[in-house]
Amino acid sequence: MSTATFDGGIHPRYNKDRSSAEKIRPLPAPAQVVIPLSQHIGAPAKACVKKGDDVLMGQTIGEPGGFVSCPVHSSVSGTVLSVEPRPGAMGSPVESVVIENDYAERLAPMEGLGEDWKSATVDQIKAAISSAGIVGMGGATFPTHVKLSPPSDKPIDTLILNGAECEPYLTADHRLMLEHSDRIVTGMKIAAMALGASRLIVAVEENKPDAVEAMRKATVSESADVVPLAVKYPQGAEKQTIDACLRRQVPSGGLPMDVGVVVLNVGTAAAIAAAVIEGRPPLERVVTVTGAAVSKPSNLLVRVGTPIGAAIEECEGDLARTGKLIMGGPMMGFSQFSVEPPVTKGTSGILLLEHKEINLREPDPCIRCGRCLRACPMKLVPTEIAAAALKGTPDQISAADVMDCVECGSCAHECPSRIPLVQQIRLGKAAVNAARQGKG
Amino acid sequence: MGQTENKLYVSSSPHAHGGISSSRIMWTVSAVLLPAAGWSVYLFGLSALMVILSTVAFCAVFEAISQLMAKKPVSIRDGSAVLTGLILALTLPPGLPIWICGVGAFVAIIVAKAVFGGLGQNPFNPAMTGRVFLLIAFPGPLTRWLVPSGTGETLFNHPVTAYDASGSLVELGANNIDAVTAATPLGLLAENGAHAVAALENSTEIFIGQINGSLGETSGLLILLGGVFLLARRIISWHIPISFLGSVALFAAITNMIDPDHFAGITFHLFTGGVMIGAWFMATDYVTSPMFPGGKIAFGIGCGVLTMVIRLWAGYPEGVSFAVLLMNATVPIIDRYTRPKKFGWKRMAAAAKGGE
Amino acid sequence: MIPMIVLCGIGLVMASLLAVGRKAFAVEVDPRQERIDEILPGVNCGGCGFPGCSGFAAALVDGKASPTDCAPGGADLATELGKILGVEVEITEPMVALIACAGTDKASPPLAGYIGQMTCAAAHAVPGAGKACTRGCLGLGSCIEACKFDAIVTTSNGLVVVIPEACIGCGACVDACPRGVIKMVPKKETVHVLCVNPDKPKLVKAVCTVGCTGCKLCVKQSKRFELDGTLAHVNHTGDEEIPESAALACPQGTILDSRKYTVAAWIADPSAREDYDKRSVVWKDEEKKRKAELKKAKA
Repeated sequence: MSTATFDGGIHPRYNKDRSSAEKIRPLPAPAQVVIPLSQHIGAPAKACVKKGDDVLMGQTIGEPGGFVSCPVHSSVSGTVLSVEPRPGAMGSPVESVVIENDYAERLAPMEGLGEDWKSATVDQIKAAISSAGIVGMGGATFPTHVKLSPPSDKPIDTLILNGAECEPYLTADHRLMLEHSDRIVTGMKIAAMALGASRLIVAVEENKPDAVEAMRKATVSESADVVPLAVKYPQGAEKQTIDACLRRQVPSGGLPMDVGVVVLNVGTAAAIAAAVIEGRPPLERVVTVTGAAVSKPSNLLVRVGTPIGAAIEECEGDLARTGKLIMGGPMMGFSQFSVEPPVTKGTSGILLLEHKEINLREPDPCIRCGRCLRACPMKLVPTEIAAAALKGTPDQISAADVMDCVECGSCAHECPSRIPLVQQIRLGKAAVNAARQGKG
Repeated sequence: MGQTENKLYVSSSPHAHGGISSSRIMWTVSAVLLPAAGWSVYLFGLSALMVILSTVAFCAVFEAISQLMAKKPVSIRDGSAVLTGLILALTLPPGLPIWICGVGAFVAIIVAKAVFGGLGQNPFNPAMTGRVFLLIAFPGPLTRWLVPSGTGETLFNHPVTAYDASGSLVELGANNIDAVTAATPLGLLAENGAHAVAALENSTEIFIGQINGSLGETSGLLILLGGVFLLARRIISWHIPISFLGSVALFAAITNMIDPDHFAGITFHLFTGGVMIGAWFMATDYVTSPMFPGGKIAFGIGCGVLTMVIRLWAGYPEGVSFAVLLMNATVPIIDRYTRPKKFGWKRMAAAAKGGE
Repeated sequence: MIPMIVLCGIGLVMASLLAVGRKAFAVEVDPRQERIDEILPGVNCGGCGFPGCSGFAAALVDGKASPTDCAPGGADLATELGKILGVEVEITEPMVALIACAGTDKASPPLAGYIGQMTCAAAHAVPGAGKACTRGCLGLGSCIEACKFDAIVTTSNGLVVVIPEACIGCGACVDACPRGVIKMVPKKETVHVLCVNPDKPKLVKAVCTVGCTGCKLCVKQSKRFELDGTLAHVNHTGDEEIPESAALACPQGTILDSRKYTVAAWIADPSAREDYDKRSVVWKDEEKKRKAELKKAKA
């Protein structure tokens, strides 16, 4: 049997060897953390502390601003210095709580369900996950409690744990699977119970045979299947993972729950275990710090709110050699112009590319070679979407299926003319969204 | 304020690139054509070399001129004009006067490409347009086929003809022969029927390319090797060449079966004329061929069938360039009807049902 | 010979068919529309919001557009159109576009290099692209693309400027700017605040040396200045002449006095700034003296 995969996709240079053998080690907490109130998709949290307040480690400092929202917790104990807009990972300033670390590590009282979680109700579990503020740790940062609450007309039969980690360079999930496989499996069982899913799948790209092995060992007494996936980008994209594992295609415009599936990142599963059993919110996360300009590529356990500069310093990243500083992976990450933005729950990597790796050439005209449409995992025609986005009306743009694009970057990665296809497609999406909002 | 001393760059994702560039593709394809070009120089000597060099040079110059006139950056280095020149040269007969090469280059670069907006905008294959224009405008020079060196006074047991510098027929063995020519195998086929070329069928000469014809038509083998190399490097996909060659072969097989005395066989049709270079290098031109796999197959079949129809029943002995140009015109329609279904197009019920 | 006759015959038949068709299927057009079409400028700028000049003509006849909507035609055309349509035309003030940003790449240096689609909307969506100020002109010239009259030009220092003489006030550039930097102002207006950054003064100062900090010194010089939060702007409804001192009083040099300097010179010619700085120092000294004397007199 050939390895499970999907149609389309690309084979970028993975560059995972730099950091894949590095054990996860903690980065000392910084003297000051900046904790954004919006680390998730949905309504930002509302600050419930003010300047001068004393906060404990794990204390809630932001209440959820709605159902699709998440609480935010302090990752250190100390004093609130201010609540103000600070530079975020997406560039524009976001409302953040700035806390001075007193290094006392005074923990807030945490109440977990302990090993009794098996006898807990689904609502108790969801409440524990919700109040811990767990979001998709793979980078999508969608609130997990929402994902675990599908409408009753969409029964979930399968839970897929996503350990594909198809983004080049990143090894955070890989290390987590090697070092904390039991935690991940516990989290999976909890999530499966909350969903009522009977089938459990752990999907891992086969370029991580040790992780496949580790997850097999951890699931040996469970009814879960560990499915090795072909090494191809974007294998870890939700819809592609489902297609590869189950041969089910999420309908256009739909969600995984439309085909009875929920996909959780392995990091999310580990966070669920901590939240439900110990009542501990995600105060830190594994971040891969890597790239040609980093002398000591590492997988760091970083407190949420630590400026990326501190992690870069720890790993001896040379900013003078750096041409591009990216939060996340090279395919879908965000380029940064300063080292100020803090690590959030969704930060999977910090990548420092050298100047010589940066392409400054002007794009050439499209030669219709078709590489982009062969690369597209959604089977779209990127050139046509991009052309519509640049010249068309919102109706024409949306007729080109712009909204099906997952912005994985495969097309632009393959384009011999180096046309910024994803950027053009994003412009198209913005135009369509603006038109839709205009219509009401 | 958080600004690092050196310059960081920002952009929209993705931040990684596969490294392939349009110019590398163009130059690779050009390089792959060089063995076939070299072979024609070996066969025809200086008369072939001059055609190749002058056509390539003319194309590059016209490209530069057109871009300067349009106030665009001059992009000779991307190799597209050079590739057009090389392909055009390989469709021309050896010994063609240089000025006619220049006219062909002008039509290819200026008329077929620049006026449509340059690279990526042209609906018709520039090299093919150039060649077809020359064939119609200068039928005489375009059908004077030099005899490969070392083949003696007869070629495939058929008479060769000698011209002097003024272009009048002279007797072979006369002193001031300017050119020795003979009909191409396809010409023989069209004139005299399949029995005239029966000796050629399955002969190593047409396979290796010791025949007369356009520069790039001679060595089917070298062209085939080049095409397979492009296929292996994933610069072209299999769809167009295989469907093109396949439909030519099928067409030849059927007609040959019906009337072997009148219609030549598979190898003859595959390895004579422009079918090989057409299938691997002309019909596969990105800009003027369909983008989707299904469309590529339809396009290839169309090229193959049209080529055979022209070869067997039309006024010209060879039809590859006409076939490719005609099919170029159908590309927008083919693209419209062969677009693959997007991911997740199936209705939810179908998706769930097909799941298990 | 026969083919010739046949061809001629076909030609004749076709021609007569066309002639009959033209009469039979003629589309009724309001005669006024044809007359309007003739006098419209024919530049198809789209400033009126209708598809081209003929679209505008049709809209006028249908009463969906106002004669004053054609910016290139100006007041004269509006009067003419009014005559044809038989309506009273109230002539509006001719307007021109103004790029309300003086943040050159020296005043607001870029934080990072930008790679990607070289349009303003694309760069605007990439954090860190463009200059330090995230509110001001990106300088990539999407407005130039939108301008059908070549009235906008790039400067060598990262900005674009509208040449008021060339601008016909169609307003196409306003929509082309993703940051809303372009304003339509009365052509006769002489003084402009070249900043659109509404952020707090501290933030504005951090990203630009010529940004408006809302200090109100201009308001003290002329009532025509108004403050919107911490951003000053000129109220165009007043008639009162704005004194030269308004620009000279601005500590940031945000205010352009077009009686003294053209907008192009103000942005791109260093000598204009030097001259302004000198005049500003002199004016401030005099102002100080005057205040001191005033104090003395009071005392």
